[in-house]
Amino acid sequence: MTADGVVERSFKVRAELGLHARPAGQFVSLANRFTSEITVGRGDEWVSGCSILSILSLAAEHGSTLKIRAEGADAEQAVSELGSLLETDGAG
Amino acid sequence: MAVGVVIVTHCDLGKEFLRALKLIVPDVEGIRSISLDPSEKLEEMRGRILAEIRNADESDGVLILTDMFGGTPSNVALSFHDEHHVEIVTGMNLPMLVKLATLKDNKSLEELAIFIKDYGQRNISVASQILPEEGT
Repeated sequence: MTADGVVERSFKVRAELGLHARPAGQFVSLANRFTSEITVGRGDEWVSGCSILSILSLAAEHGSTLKIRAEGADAEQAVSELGSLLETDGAG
Repeated sequence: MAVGVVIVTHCDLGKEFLRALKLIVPDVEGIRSISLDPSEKLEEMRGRILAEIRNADESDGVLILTDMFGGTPSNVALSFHDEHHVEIVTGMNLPMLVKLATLKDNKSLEELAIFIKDYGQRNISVASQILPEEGT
């Protein structure tokens, strides 16, 4: 927790094929269930967690590290659930 | 999405585009596809497209996506431009469909057509221009 209602943590992408289209779709679908504003970062690049194409533009391969940042009332739950999805071996 | 969307393509391209889209956005709905067979008569093609335009139009118009400007699907779709509330965007790609399937804000037909054309163009990439160089 970096400030009130802001949660940011890093996760490793476990899926064999990286964060490709199908898991990116699952990620966005899950992200849309939270009221918090969600962004995903790789290095210095940050994109909306609610845009499949933006997430794909991060080109997160297997083993890469992504940061998930959520700001809002359900930020903790959002980061936790989205992080679990990234760390699911067979996501996608 | 208040604007209806119909894909019109050669062969089964549109159907397969939708199949790929559903892998990525499983709960997508409201996007229809029409496959045009080269052996089909012009009036049959027009009849099938018109039926889908009517099905898709919820009063805010219909965006028609086609595979290639100058091809029969585009040419037949363009013939509806003046007599129906439709806009036609040619040269569709999968990023455009993913965007349409996940778009939340309600744009007018005219705004949506321009937006989605620009979006499709922006999402064509050359690998060497986007991949980081070795060692960086």
